[in-house]
Amino acid sequence: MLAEAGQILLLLSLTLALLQGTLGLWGAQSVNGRLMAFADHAAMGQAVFLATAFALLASLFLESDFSVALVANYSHTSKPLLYKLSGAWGNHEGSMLLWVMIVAIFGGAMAFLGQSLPSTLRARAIGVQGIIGAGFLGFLIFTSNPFTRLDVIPADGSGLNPLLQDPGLAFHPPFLYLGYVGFSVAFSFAIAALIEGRVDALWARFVRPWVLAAWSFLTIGIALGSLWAYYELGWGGWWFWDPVENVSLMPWLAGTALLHSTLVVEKRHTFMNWTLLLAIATFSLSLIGTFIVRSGVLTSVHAFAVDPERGVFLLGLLALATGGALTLYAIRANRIASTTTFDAVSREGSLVLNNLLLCAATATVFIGTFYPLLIDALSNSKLTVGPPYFNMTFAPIMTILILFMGVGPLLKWRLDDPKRLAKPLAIMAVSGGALAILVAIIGKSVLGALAIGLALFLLISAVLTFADKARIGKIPMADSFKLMTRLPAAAFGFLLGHVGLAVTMVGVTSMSVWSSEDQLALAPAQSAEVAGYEVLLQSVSEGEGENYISQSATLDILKDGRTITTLRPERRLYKVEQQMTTEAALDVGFTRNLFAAVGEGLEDGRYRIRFYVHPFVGWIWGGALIMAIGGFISLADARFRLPSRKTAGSQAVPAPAE
Amino acid sequence: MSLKAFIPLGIFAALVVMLMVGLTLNPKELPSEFIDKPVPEFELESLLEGEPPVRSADLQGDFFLLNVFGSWCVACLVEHPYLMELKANDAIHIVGLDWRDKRTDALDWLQRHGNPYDVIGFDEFSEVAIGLGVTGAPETFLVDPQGQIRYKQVGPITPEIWLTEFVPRIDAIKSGAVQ
Repeated sequence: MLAEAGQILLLLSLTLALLQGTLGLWGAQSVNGRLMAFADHAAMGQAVFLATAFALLASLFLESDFSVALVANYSHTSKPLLYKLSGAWGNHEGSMLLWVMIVAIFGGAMAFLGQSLPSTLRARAIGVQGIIGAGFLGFLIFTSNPFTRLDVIPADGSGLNPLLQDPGLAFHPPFLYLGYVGFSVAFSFAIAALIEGRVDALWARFVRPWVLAAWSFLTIGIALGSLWAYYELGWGGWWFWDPVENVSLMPWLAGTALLHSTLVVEKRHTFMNWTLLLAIATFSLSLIGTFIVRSGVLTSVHAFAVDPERGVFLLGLLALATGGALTLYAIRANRIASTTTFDAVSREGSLVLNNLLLCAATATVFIGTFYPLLIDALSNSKLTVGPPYFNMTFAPIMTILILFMGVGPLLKWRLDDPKRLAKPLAIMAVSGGALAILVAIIGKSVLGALAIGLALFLLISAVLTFADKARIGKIPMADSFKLMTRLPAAAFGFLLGHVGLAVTMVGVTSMSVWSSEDQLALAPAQSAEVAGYEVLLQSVSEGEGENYISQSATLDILKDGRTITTLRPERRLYKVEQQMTTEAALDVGFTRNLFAAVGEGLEDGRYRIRFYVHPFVGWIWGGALIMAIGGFISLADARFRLPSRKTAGSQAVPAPAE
Repeated sequence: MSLKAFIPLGIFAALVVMLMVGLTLNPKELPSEFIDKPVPEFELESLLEGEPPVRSADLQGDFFLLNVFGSWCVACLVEHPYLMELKANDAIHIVGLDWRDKRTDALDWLQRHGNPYDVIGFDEFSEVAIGLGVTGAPETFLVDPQGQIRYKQVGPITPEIWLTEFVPRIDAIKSGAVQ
């Protein structure tokens, strides 16, 4: 019954999405309040229907209802509860249902939270959101239906790939999709603005929190995926430049650019066209990401649905959405004129540079990802582009970006005097340089030292900019604290966003320059030394888990003769899938992670042990978390609260001074 | 309306054309020059120290899979459990070609995940892989008892691919329906 109810809900949602699209756009065109109100309600209804449908799918997985094809293919009665639940989206059909549900929930939220917006702008944006939803609902219902029943009910399911049975990965897709799909709101509002031929500060103020939320979710989603790759795929890698990783990085880079360009629209009423184009590009890159993963155009570990029919459908959706949006942009962009020009030495000037560098970074990732496909299409030969390409292109661009990220926030809007920067720049350069020299002596790597110095340069810049806002040192400290409590939330968001990147940079640099590993063969009670740590194998024992059997080693790790931790790496054999996985043991530390994996026993009674020391690796994800928290804190900014309907006509909310 | 505003649309149109062509290409297609040709002659040192070298001449007298893998290759890890299953069922001999790898990494990889191979050639510098026209890993060649390549699979072998691509070819050759 539940599966049939799910089918009906999907069809009802498709009907509502089509009505939301047509009535929203038509109602706005004919300025018909009733039609526009209907589109609002259709958006909210569609959100409720799809959330219910998704809950139904989740309960089918929890009940292990193997009469449903999807459950039979991806679940098993012996699976732990969490992975039964995550099985609901750990496959193509379920993840596409999650996708359309999030589109609908964002659409509903636009209707619910956007009541004080000009009604035609809201109705148009909601209409576009409805069309996107309808396209993907069609894809879901006609090519990837999650509720299809089986004629013959199997006794048990075939299980989920054990590699994917992991808490990090269980929550990776929902966050990633909240990010991808979150950018659809900016896209819908960009289309609405192009139809209306008008972009203003109110538009930017309404779009910005959606971009912030999507960006923060995407940051967490990418970090979770990378964290999973780190401890599950092992080997100390945390980013592989796999096409599927790249397609999630591209919307993040473009979204970061969008985040900053909406700031300029809001403050300086310029950059309008560019911002619209970025909004279109960011969501299009999210769509391209979905297309790549779901069509199997590029082979990758994540591409679990390789089906040409699905590929054609998705490409059609991409062509309609992005092609339509860019056509509209080409025709209407000239109607939206920017009102002011800007000077190079100013906050907006530095943000232009930020946008250019971020776009260049996006382009290098894009080329590295699609070049093999292009070569295949032109000459039918196959090649792969690996980390060396990205190290030579992406890394230098990001380094330049971070350098200017240190300078930009110090500048004032409109026009600034370069001489004013001398003092803060001197503080930043001297402390960054001093740290670099110190690191170069201890770490014996010039490039590594320069990168760490640059991270400090960025960190101090963020702190100085924030301190300036709180007027620290210019007024008594007590007054500064009082001022700090009244600073807009965005000021804290800025601080955390930039500090987070500095923290991530320390982690990335340390991992690429100073990580060490060794391969040992130890008998019980034997020990060996690796990078200043003594590794002592205590014992090896057999055990059994919920759906696997295991062999686990007990390793004492000593430093200067004292035991600092005990690691228990395991090898697991999953009974259903007959797949062997290695559960590395990890001792997480603030300044380093210790990572041990156990291999097969050798004939002489020794065991192979692999031991790694990863300095500061946790900072990679710690920094990402700080950035995401910064994004969420910015959402609380009072300036994003739109004037309520009653006061809207009389007075716009005055923006607090920055 | 200015022409400049059409630039993004033009770039996107080019991208769509490329993706359309990409969709029609079968990334799993074998360049025709390798079908029904004997495995190029080679002699490679074994990955496992102390074992005799692996020769192309060893790939004769029965059906073989020649599987190109590497410890650096994530998709190989995806395919790996199924190779283990084929090995456990004694379905076919599997010869490994460890490609562009480090010996210690490869040995460790096999220890972590198990070894489905009868013998493994260590092709650190693509000496054999180039001759075979290998484009990426994993890649798997089906070799018949006469030592001829009959099929090439690009990308991981799944149970479905095994049943739809490999088994029918083996059966057809066995029954003499295909020469």
